[in-house]
Amino acid sequence: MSPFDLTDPNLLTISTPWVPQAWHALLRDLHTKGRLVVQHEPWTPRYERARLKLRDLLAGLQVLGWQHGEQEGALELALWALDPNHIRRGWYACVRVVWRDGAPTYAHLYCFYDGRDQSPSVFTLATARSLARDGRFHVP
Amino acid sequence: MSDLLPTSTGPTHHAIAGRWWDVPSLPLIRLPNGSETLRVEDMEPIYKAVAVALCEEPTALTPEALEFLCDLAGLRHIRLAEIAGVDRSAVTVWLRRNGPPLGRSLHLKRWFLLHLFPQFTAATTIPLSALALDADILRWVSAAIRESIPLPRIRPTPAPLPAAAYSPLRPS
Repeated sequence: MSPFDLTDPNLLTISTPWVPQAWHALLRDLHTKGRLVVQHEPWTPRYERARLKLRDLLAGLQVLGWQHGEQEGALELALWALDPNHIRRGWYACVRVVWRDGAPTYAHLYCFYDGRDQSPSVFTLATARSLARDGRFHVP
Repeated sequence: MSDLLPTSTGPTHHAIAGRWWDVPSLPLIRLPNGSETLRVEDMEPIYKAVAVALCEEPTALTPEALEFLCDLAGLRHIRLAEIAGVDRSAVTVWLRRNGPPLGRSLHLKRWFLLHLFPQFTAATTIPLSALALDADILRWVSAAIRESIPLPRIRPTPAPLPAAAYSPLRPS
């Protein structure tokens, strides 16, 4: 049993990678503090939509898996959420959480698929998990 | 935490709700990988200004504009159908094809304006002369919102040259 309350985002470190609820709490916490950014190059309308749908994405997401980011002090998470407006539509996203001085400083959403603008459709959790594995995420 | 402080200013063209808009320059923050981006909260006043501009027009909503307004207002499509007095399947068709017809669009625009600016609508009396038609209400309410709430100045603009298309971010 961990001595820490892993639902407290402030107690997460980059070496405690697999506690999905805790990572979910961390992302919501960063978003509340204005520390969740959406950035993709080239910029497309899909990422403008992602910005507008962040609230819904964060409300319903499941953390599928993780991998260490290319840059030091970064952990990347694969996420999936059902579109609350469409039973047959889901969103797949990847977020990079960056630490500085032992504390998570911000999260960067760098991938967002909603089945539009040539992005894959991710209707089901199984499809999302498979997509995450293809992206080299560790999916337990 | 200094990595999220503004380092420069951003572009003045954004594609929002399926159209291009000329907007005031916003602060950009630089990420450790060298790229720059806008903070989500900095975009919110722009989104609200776009919502007013869309609702002010006495024209039918496009699917993109309807989706944008729903996302901004946090409106579920099932509730949208209730407000519009239609079946949910009609909403699905609106969002996939041509948007709601003019009458429903004006009705929905009125709902969005009143819902997105509750602080304005709670304290305002609309004159009888502005209540004859939905288009009159929209014009009057939009103008009154602009007078009472400081919104960024925006205006629709043609799409920028292809090289800059969909790229509100500066190259790093």
